[in-house]
Amino acid sequence: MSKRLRLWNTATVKAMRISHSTLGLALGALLYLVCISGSVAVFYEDFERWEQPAIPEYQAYDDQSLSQAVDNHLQQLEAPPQTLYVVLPTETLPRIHLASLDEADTSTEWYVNQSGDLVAQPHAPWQEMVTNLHNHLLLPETLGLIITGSLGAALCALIISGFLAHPSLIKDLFRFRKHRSSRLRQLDLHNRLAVWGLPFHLMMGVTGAFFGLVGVLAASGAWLWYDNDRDALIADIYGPDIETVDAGGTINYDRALQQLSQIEPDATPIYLIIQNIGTDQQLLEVAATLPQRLVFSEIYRFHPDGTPLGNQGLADGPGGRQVAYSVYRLHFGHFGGIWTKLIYLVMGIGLSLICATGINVWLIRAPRATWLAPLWSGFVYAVPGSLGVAASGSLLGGSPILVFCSSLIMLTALFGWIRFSALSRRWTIGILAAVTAAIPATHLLSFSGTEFPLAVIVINLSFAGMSLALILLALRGFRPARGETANLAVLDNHQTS
Amino acid sequence: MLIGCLTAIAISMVLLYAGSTPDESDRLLTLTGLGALTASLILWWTTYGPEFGSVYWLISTALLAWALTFLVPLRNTKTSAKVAKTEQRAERADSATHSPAQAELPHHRRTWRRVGLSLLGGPLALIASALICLAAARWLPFDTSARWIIATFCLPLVWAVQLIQVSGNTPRRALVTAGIFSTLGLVGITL
Repeated sequence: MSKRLRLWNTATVKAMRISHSTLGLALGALLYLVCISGSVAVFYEDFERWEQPAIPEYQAYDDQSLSQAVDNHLQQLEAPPQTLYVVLPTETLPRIHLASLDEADTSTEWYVNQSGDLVAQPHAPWQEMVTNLHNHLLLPETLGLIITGSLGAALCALIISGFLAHPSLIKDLFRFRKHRSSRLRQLDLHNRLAVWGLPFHLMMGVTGAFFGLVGVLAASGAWLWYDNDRDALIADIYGPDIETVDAGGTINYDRALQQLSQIEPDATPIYLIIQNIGTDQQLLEVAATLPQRLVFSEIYRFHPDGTPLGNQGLADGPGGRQVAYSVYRLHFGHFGGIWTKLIYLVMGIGLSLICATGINVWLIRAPRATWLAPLWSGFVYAVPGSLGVAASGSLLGGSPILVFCSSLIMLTALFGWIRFSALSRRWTIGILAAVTAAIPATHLLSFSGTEFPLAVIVINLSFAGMSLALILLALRGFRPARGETANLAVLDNHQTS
Repeated sequence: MLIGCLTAIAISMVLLYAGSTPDESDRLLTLTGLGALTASLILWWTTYGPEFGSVYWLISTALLAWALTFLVPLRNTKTSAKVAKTEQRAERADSATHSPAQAELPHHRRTWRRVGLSLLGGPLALIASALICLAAARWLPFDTSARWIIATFCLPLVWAVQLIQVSGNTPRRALVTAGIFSTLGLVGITL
């Protein structure tokens, strides 16, 4: 005991364990939902391509095609917008699309081909549903954001209480009692995943809370320090806008991009912002990523004739500004290419497993929880299953939100019943395999005759591979580990009594 | 360079793994492992810069540790017979104390009551935390925007601590603590 840090005295450990189980039970299901959807949402750009595989893809563009695209987009609008975005092709999303907001905040977006002609409007309902599920749990945006932000803070609380509830942290760093009782196995799985993933998961908690609660604190900060002027607060944090005069005429994109390559040769432009287009106060801003930097972008400003007007200071301004602007890439793993996304997927699945096993540990020792254990088990399997059903349903023209919600209820009931009836888990895995296999099959059916880009083929193959792995798992069956038979016996006893 | 970075982490993981056996932990090996882990961070920084390097280092440490824990069956062979016996005894005791039949119903009812109280007390703790963060940030020797950013990033952590208070204490003590913090925050802001 004397070897242990004073941090871990008996009273602290007891209080932390109570807090950990209370918070875990209160919020485990919502956290699980956010973690699973977040793991999938990391690939949102790839799924955008998957849902619209026929959009022309290219990396090269020139001044003429950009001007043509902007002109064509403006023709679709009743009045020139205050701000027009031209999202440039990147390695992960090699397409150009234009977006603008009108006075009523209605968004108009178009994909364009290499000549600048409008091709189609973005339409990726499943990907949007998954992103919205992660961002605001499909609730009204403000309320949902506050709830998910709160879940981020709750995740931090669970991490801190879990850490302080673990006195033998160093001794147990690699302990996994695979062949022991079900409770010990689940407990070890929970603890080992959590201890090693702690810094990453804490980072996710803090950044997630930042997204959700930034609105609340912006309102409070504006009230406290800026006479309730929220725009002044935002301008102070992210840098103020600038105004140009006598800046009419045609925009010289080519010159601006050439100037940028001279000012910052390592910068990679990702989108253009055209302010007050068609007026004397036009301003061209080029957002560009910088190598080895987590800031979402630096924004370089240009006169319409291509003369540089300075940068916003997002990458070289005050430290706080740089930190605030780095949160997005850090949270969503959008840096370093596909490998970073894959690793974020693994870490996200790890966090989802921590949520699932945490509640499992509590349920194994819960008295008279005959209905809760199958319900939780059903929910854990139903969430990925419902996302899969929603993907197929969306490809067939259904509403992904409706399909997801209804299939979540049905699959939870079905998987829960399978567990409650003490049927083999291979049925659950078999159904999940069928759901996963249906996704690429529906995709091929929906887009037959389309020439798919490599990324889309890889996504379909990944789904097929996952389905095959699940089939093999179902065929191999599950050998109940020591203690699992005992749990089933307890379940039986509960049922008979 | 990536191979070098990963090898450095792998070496430190093996040292930590060897130093943390279930029967007795070897402090020297553990410390060497931690030292090697720190050295590998510097290697990641020099290769990928401090920002990407830190994230990659964190992630690869976790992934390698998970791989060692769940894929390498070394633990069983290392465990001595004495330790195995102790573990089995502990497991029997664990099964006896943690089986549903032995679990106390009132204890679990208390847990659910706490869950309800935490859901009610959480928003109050949020208000208290926001007030504290804004009040504390006000006294920092930085410009206003920096103060706001510090308050924003501290909020989840301060709220997390408050949530632990709310969910881990008796309702009365939790409410009193949240009340005290809210008052302190309000006083700090109005001063």
